[in-house]
Amino acid sequence: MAIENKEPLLSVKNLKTYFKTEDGLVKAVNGINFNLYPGETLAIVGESGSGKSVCSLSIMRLLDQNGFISEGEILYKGKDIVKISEAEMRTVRGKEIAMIFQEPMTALNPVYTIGFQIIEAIKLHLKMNEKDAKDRAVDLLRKVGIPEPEKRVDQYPHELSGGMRQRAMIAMALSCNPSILIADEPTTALDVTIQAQILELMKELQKELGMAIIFITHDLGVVAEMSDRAIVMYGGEVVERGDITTVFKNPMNPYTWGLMSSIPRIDKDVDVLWTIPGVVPSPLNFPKGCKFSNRCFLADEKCSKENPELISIEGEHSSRCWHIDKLVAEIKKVRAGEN
Amino acid sequence: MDEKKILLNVENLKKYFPVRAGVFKKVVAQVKAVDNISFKVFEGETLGLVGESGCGKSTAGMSILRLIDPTAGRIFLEGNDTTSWFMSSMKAKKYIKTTYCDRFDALVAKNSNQEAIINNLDNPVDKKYAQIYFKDGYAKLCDEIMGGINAKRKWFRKEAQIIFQDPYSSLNPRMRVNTIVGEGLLTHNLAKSSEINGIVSDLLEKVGLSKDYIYRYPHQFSGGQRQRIGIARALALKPKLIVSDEAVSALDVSVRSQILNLLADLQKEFKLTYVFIAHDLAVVKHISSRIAVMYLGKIVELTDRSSLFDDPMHPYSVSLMSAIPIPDPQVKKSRIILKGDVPSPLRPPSGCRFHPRCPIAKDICSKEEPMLMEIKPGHFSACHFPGTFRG
Repeated sequence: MAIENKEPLLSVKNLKTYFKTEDGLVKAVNGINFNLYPGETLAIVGESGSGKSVCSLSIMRLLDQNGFISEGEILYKGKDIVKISEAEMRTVRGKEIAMIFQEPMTALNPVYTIGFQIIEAIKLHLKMNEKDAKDRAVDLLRKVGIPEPEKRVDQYPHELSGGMRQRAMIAMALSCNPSILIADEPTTALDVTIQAQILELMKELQKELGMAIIFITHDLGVVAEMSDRAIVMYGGEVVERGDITTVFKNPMNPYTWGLMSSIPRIDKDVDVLWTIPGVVPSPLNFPKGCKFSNRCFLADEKCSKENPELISIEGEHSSRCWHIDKLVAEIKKVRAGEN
Repeated sequence: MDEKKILLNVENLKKYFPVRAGVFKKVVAQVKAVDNISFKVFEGETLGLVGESGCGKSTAGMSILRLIDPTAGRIFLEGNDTTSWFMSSMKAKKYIKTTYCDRFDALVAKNSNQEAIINNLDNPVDKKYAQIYFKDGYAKLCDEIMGGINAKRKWFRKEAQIIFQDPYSSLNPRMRVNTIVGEGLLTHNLAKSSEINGIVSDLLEKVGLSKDYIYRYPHQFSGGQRQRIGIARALALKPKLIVSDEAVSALDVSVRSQILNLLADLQKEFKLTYVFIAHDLAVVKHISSRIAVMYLGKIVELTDRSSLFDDPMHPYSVSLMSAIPIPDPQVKKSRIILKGDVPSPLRPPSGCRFHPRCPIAKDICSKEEPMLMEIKPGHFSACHFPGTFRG
């Protein structure tokens, strides 16, 4: 995809989102930059505590009371949505940028019918009357593959299975033809056969409606399946960025490499899994210098003193590491041993 | 496979949960969570139980450990029929009567030669109990099975341990690590209280934690560390069998690989036998030597790891494998998308339970239930058309 000459739909510039807590200031997202182009799927990958969800909540401006965007811009079609008023944001949220969540049961309101919750957004954003809105809701439910949509539209969330709820949520998110859909771990709570259904559905809908998707997940299999480009986050920073084939084929950051090698795969057999030692530190206790230095197998003194910049390796592909050359040599060695 | 010693033998295990309704709490339906499954686990191996939510894999694990009482079936550990050990004495007597006495009586009615009957029984436990029953009668058999019940229960609880999914709710928040891990040792009189701290420190180092942590509380640890404490607790009594119920599902990718490697190392060191319950087929494949695929309370395929992946016989196994996204964008595979959801175990479909979603279902599938049959040596599948669907 020749993305260089396209105008980005969404542009996040030096975004910093902090949380005030009793123990101090938590820098959940600490200066990230990325562009989202029309019609593409961008994956944000990371473990818990990497800041990937906070990043999406910042874009939607749905942060908790103690969280705030301290710096940076989020340009949507050239307009900075960090600065606009809450009233103006309400015309963007749900209409231009919609979101689906991990837990469809907690994200849907249990005391209203599915139909009511979809119609609510349609009436608000598209100024339709009740009847037209209901027709549209039924159409949407049919489009996301819910059987008997005329009946389902009057049912409550608890009457639907997990996969159906997630479909209903997708219908709700797509009700106003958003140009961006943020999907925060949409399939993590689902069984694999249902996950396959939902991923397929999202791909089809994207082809049909042409929205851009930000796909937030920790599952590298899903990333490889769904996205065009990926950014890998660790400790609130982007550690690697690039198009999906390059990142998987030539990872240039020890964290990305470690993450990819530590998952058991059904298409390969390994005796001992690669491990990244330790755990993601609490956001208050990240090491000085490179945030990954205390868990990295390449780390030396320089890493614990200075945080490397995110530097471009080739075009879009960039990585944040002092020892890219060492890593490349190491990966070569491991891969030579595999074959 | 015959020369391998069978550690755990599960025979026709059923677990039904009654659904009650109305003023008198009448039982109106049964949720057949586990419906007639049988499998053997050999000493030192890992058996993976895999399936989607609601397939009964956890219920099976809980029933084996008698954390819930099975509705029917027998569970043997090291050749002992442990089924009645955790029943009340009334129920146990009824169990002995129906499983052994009535069966033996029926055999006698057909063929009066007691010697021949004993010789024809396959299971050594059946043989032994038949001998006792024919010689000394029912009361003696009850004595044999239920005598010294407390010691038997204790033995079972020592030999079979569990690692739970959620490391947050499975550790008592008001206990220190040394109590959590060492409690069992005291109960089973395996150590004096003065020795506990030493033993716990050793165990913590075995599972990759610092021995300085013995006085800490669970909330002072991360998820991965808590799971290590859970593993140390399971190891403390030097069990033979460990049932791990989704032990790595709640963990982050990088921590998960640490725990998987740890489980593999411990298995080698202590000659442990695992029943590894998980929904993630990739994880199960990595750790198991044999795998049982479950669907809606039934085992649909049971075989060793390589034949399951190279030569799957059941369409559900094929679809399950195909549904897993592979972390490599250059691998483009055509995916089998199963239609619909897993049906409710309250009203399972007739015939083969997989037939409403099965890509190759024929008429017979909705009428007759396929039995779990040995298609090739050691490769069992419950399908009318095994091996015909490859995606």
